[in-house]
Amino acid sequence: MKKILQTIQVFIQFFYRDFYVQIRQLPAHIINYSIIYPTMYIFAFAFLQTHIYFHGQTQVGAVVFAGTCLVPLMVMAFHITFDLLFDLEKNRHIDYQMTALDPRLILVEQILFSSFFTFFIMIPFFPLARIFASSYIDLSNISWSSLFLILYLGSLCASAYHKLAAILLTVEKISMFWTRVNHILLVLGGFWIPLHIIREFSPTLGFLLRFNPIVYLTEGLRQSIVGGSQFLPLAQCASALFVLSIIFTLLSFHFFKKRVDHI
Amino acid sequence: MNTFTDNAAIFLALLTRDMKVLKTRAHNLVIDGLILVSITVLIFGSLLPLLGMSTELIAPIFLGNSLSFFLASLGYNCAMRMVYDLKFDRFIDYFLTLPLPKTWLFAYYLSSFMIESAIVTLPLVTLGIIALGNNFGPINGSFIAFLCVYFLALLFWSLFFLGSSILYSFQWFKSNMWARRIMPLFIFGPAFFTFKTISAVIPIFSKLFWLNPLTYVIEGLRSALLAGPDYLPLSICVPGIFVGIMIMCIRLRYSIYEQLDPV
Repeated sequence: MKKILQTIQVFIQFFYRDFYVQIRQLPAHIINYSIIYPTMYIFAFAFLQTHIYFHGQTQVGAVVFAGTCLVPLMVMAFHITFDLLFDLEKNRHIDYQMTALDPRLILVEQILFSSFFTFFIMIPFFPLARIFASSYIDLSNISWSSLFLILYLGSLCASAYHKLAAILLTVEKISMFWTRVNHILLVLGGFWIPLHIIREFSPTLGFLLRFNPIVYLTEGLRQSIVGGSQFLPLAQCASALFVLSIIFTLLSFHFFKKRVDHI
Repeated sequence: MNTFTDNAAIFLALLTRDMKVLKTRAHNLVIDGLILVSITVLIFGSLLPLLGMSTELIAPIFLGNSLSFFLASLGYNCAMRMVYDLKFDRFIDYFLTLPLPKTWLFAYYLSSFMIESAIVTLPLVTLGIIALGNNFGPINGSFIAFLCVYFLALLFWSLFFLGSSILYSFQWFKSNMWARRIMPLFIFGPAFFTFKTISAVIPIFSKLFWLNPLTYVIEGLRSALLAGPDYLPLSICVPGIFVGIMIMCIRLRYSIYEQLDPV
């Protein structure tokens, strides 16, 4: 019992440590991802795109706009989780941490911290859209509780996924990782185009995209914002995001042991 | 005191060295480019029209958004190498001690980026136009005019990124460059839409777009290749690009003296 309490205490201390490390960057992150990105995206993709591409159809505008929060979300999760990669290749603070806590718990702590931090940064995205863009895109059916639930689970999944990537990659491969993996996952994961349109275009591609974790995030967001049978059900999206987070975390355990344990 | 021939010989030796390095990573750049072009062709050529976007916008968006985004990505990666070098490796100190005037040295940096970008992007743009086929629409402009504007666009981007990489610190560049410099250029420029469609929706606010040099770069590329009354004429775009290039030259000069201080 004492040992468990001690472990929890160290776990919380590491959580605080991450918080103190990241707090220095917090104002810059808030300005970039909670203010600049939403403002620019509202202007370009809620206002202009709805008028120019979709001739003022507010519902289509809302469907397209819902996926655009992917970029700040993914970039934020990447920034926080990839500190581990830089640490693994340089300072190796992780070696000290492993003497105080089980490596698997360290990874869980880092993933949870990243998910909360990313979620916190992403909170203003849709409320800002509601305030400034509700006359250009149809946000009247928005369900805030399910929207924030999906946004948190999306942050959790993106954090676990990026943690796994940080363990598998080297610094030189980061730019390649963004172009060859993240860019494809983002753009085909519903950044602009919902799954049912892709299925209509190519059923095979639509089927393959079921294996893209980002699809469940964008479909969940669209279900929460617009609603309707054309999008995947909310429960399916939420459970898929949660299960995928667990899978990515378990894979992180496996590959982290391989990378750190030289024996 | 070096003669012009001495300077040119060192300049060419440096460029030859860069081309050798480029050879080793050319296949990676081409693969990355092919991925970007394929996804763009799929999204703008097939999927967005299924949501209601007019097919007349495909060609201008491909030239405006995709080509410029591709150049910006290449420029960002190049600038990132420079920022990293300035902070950690300081390979630039070796370059600064070469018997080469500083103007020649920075002209070498610019030329190297321009050659690399041209080698990678020109074939990919051609491939993209072929892949879009009939969706691209008629090419009423001139390839020679397009190549001239494309050269000016390369010069603009190379000055922009070289200036930024010297002006900003490693941390600032890594955290803020996309959100605070590159994205606003794209969002408050006609990258996703044509200037005329934007000014039809926001006639007064669109006047601010005249202050963005990317407006002239993008509309210039469109006007040169596609021609017609839908784009700003070359007689406006070319002087606009020259003004942008002049501003970027002054910015680069300021950043060199401010940060590197080569006596």
